[in-house]
Amino acid sequence: MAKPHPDTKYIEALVNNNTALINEIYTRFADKITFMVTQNSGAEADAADVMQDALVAVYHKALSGNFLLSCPFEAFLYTICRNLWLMQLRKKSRQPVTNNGDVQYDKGTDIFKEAEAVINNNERRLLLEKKFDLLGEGCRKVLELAWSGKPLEEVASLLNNTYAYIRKKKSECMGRLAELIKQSPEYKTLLW
Amino acid sequence: MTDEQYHIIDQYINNQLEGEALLAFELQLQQDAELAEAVRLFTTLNNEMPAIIKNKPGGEVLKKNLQQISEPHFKNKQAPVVSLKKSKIYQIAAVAAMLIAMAGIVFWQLTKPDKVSLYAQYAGHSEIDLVSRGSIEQEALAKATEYYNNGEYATVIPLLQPILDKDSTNNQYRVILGRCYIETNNYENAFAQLNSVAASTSAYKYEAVWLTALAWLKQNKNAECINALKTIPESDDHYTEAQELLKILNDK
Repeated sequence: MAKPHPDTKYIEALVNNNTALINEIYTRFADKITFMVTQNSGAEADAADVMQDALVAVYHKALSGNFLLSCPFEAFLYTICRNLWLMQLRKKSRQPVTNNGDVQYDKGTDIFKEAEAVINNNERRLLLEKKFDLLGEGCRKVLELAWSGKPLEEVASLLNNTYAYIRKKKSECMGRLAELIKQSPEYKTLLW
Repeated sequence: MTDEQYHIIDQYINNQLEGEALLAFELQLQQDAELAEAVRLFTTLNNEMPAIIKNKPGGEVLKKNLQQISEPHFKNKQAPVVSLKKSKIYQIAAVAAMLIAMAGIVFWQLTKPDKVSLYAQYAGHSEIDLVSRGSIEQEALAKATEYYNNGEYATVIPLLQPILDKDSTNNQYRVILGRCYIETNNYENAFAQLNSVAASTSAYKYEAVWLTALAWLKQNKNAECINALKTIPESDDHYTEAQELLKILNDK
């Protein structure tokens, strides 16, 4: 099994919102991300947005409980940013990101696979969040409480309803959410 | 799928089905791809949504902190383009494409028996980007941008209307809302948004006039549409398509 890389400190910094170490991430890596974006049809502001999106995506992946950084953070972050920017360019139908020739960023490497996993997790999260927000308030409340780990009996009590009603309501609301997700164009493009 | 089916799926993934009911469900699962997909989705929701809901507030806090920390590291950045109008290159490409397409459209107009509405042909869909760094409404604006770019106009309205109510001088939000109201056939609200911009000296003035013309066109009120189109000056981006549309309407 792979050992955690010493740069795991940056992952922990994101999880703990450690301002000093996050600042170090920007000091060390912002220029490289900016160069990649500005060399590929983007502006510095785009680089700031891409880097922010990447760091938030890493934060969520780290908290999903299924993540181990086994490579240098620089290559990992760069690959995520590069792929995120490539996706944006595709959406805007601009030029594809040019290959900088660095073999460590190529497909098939562990870095690329780890970066892909973060991006797929992020896209899935964004889709699930977006569709969850479209549910009615009643559904959102039942599902939020049920997914917070509370037993359905307690959820029923909190919402002044019967257990049977809440159990039925929960499955119906999950059905609504599943339908919203299936109808979205992104659904078929993501790994589930 | 029915609510009853969803109820049984929920029982199945929570190991609450037993005996014959379980066997019957598992047999059905092997034969029914739609059911199998629904079971996979329910499992995914149960596995991923607890963490998504739990970590969302922390993610928002981190995002705000990142915005502050990142500021000095992107000193030369320009504000992202906040525009409903197309970029210069896009405009040139669009004009070129339009000239090529014009002959085709005229031919198609004359020959196609089951015509797509003129509105659908001319309304088009340009991507927007409403997100402005530093705006306190970033999250709602990002969602509005995404929904608009996906063509989900009805969903944009409840997101953007409250922001416009707080920032009533923002003519960009006003014309985008106007477009959303046209798409949802709420013409009264569309005109309420567009009239004030069309009467102003804003950079969005003729965007509003063009949308007003399209709103009339969508209602088959050609005379009103023609009147609006005639006011679009040669210097505006919409002039070429306005003239083309005028010709089609005048020839009817």
